[in-house]
Amino acid sequence: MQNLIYKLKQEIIEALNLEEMTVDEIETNAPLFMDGLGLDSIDALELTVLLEKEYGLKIHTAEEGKQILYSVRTMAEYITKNQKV
Amino acid sequence: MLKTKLFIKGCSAITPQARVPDLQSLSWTNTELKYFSCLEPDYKLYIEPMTSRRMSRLMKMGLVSAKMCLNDANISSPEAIITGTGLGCSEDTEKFLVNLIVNEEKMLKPTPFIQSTHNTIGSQIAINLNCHGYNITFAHRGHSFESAIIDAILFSRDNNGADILVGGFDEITQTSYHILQRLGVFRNTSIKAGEGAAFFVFNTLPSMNNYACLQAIDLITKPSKGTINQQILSFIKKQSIDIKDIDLVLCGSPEDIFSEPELKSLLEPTKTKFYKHLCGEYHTASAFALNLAANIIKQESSIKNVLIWNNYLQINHSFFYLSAC
Amino acid sequence: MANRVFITGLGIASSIGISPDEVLSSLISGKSGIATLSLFDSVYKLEIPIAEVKYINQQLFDLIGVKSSPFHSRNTLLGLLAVKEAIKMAGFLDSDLSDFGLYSGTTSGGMDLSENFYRSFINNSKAGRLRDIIHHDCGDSTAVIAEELGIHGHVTTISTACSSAANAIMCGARLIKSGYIDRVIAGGVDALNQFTMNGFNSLMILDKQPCKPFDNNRNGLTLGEGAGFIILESERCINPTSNKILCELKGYGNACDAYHQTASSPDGKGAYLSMHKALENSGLDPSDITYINTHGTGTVNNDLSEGIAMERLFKKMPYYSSTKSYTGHTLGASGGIEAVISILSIINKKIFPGVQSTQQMNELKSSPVSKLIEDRNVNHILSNSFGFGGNNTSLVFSVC
Repeated sequence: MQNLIYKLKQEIIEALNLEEMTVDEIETNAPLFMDGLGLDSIDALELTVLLEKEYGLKIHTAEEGKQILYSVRTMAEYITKNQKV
Repeated sequence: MLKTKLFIKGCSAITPQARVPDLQSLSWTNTELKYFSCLEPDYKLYIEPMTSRRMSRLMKMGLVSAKMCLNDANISSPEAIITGTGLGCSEDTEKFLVNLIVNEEKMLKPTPFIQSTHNTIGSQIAINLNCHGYNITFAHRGHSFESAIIDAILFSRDNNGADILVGGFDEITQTSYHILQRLGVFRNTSIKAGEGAAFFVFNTLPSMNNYACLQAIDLITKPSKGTINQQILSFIKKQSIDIKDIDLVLCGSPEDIFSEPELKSLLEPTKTKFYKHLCGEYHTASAFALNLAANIIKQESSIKNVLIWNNYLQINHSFFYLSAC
Repeated sequence: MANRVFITGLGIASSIGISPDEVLSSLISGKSGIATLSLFDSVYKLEIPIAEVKYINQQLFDLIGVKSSPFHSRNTLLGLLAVKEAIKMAGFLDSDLSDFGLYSGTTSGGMDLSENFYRSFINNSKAGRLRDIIHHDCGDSTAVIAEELGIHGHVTTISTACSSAANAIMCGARLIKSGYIDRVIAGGVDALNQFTMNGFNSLMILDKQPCKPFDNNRNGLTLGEGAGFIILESERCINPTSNKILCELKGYGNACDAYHQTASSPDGKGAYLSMHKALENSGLDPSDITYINTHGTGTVNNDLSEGIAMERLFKKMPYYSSTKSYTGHTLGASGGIEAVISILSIINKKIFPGVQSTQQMNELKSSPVSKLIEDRNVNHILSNSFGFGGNNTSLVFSVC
């Protein structure tokens, strides 16, 4: 799980062009949206594309997205549970 | 033709030149460059990373030259934001289109699509300034910036004393350059493609540090051959001045004059200078010329009346008359 | 000097008809134009309903009788059809149009042709037909239409996403009021293409069922295409009692939401401001408005933002609905198409409902019109068009 979390943070930085951020600066359990990192609805869409592209996982509704994309940890847990090998 | 009396309270541009060219730089020189690219500032000084991370190059150029212009005019937020662009963010348009084709409509990132709409820059400026005022974008080829100016003039008539931010911007990419080559747009000419972003704050009321006063603008599309000199004479006459009173005529290139022999006698060689060897040709190059003219009037006390004639690919012509305040 | 601005002609091409009469008939019978995609291929063909104009390009070309090159974008063909209709209705079909102005709003330009070009070009930079790429820019269809019809007064294109045509009408009217010009053809056009469809799909705001504007269970918008143009004439050049006059463009307002590139503010500030400005500009009170033709896309975000703004502005809500449930969201053309629909409403004394919407929104105290209302004096209509980037425009049309 730790490897996945690290990899995910790198991918998030790249997908969202967070050039000024390092992996260490992204807290695993902190909310990604609103407070915490302060991402917005467009970032949510970009992360949806990331999940599909890198892990073959689709998010179908906004409600589903809110839960899965809550934090790096929730994303990692979702991937671990659902990823097609 | 529209007459007006709009003071240029502030202006700024991001161009292929390191600084605003002076009179001496306005003699035509040929270049070996494939096309002109802008010298861009350090955007980090103007835009926060969390905001700029998503922005295309043209978006940054537009937003930053707008902010620099507002600083120059010493205002924090205008009453209106009016922009003109021929092709908008063409890099992002292409990015989304290529991804769409290559990925067969799957897993498409939304950001380049959002930035492909032409008003994206005008909107971003408003978001950045929290400006709820009038906001509009024109996208009509070589008359995009001119349409923005006309709209600003009309807006000013209903809103006396309002600060009106007006900008013109376009970008060149490797792909668009390649397509222009294939179309043979610059085949028999020494003009090259270019790009730039220029912004102005206009107001009907004078202020301390005005650059110049915009007095009139006129537009023609595809004029008949041999009629430009009449158009120029007619435009000048309507300003109640004589062509001899014009201290400086700014044309895109000497080829504009060679295309119409009667212009050689009408436009005195000593007073006629050029600008497209500094910025290249693009839909909103007249914005570069306006910025240039405004600065020259401010710096050179001998230059009081300036005529700009912008000729976009023999299709869209525009004339601007500016005077010292 | 303020000149009153009258409307004397209408032209429309949409999924529910390619003339004002056809469109009126569809609106009265409640017939939506939303169906399955057929214009081009897509992996989403069976998934995403769409509201196409039911004519392919060759059919449009034959209908219009274009003089110039056969290789035009779909935008140009739809636009020409609507502009010619409007000119004919206003009685100018055989007239010299050189002093007319043309203000057209669009977002897609010739993207349908550019897509063809790029499919070949990306694999080989020498490939791709050049005739497909020269119509790429937004200004192309406007320039071609102007040239085709001999229009030489001020010609320009506005591109402000979904408020493009509404802004074109507003700016055209302002040019007339300034005394600079007497007649302007104003409106907008947007044709469907893969780029646009996939763009909106990537934003996850397309409903997989026909859209349900202002419904509590709404799920997104349905894309449409078309063109809508009106002829604006100044008071100076037309007798206010002339029977050519269909109605008056009483006022307009534009404001920026300045909240987000794609989302509308939760409190609907931009929407409130544009409606308020339009009413002020018209010299009308909110209570004067009979009906609001809303922007009403069917997205969770827009309808909430717009609904809240309307309920804030209007102590007593007028009738309102979204006709996008018939025509789909025609993007840059929507302000023009909905102007035509609003004017049909005034002339025919009818108020058109939304179709497909049944459940009142929890957040609102009001519901949109659900059944056709007939024999009703429609005195003043407020028409909203809100574009990405928070570009919000409202127009007021009034009976004469």
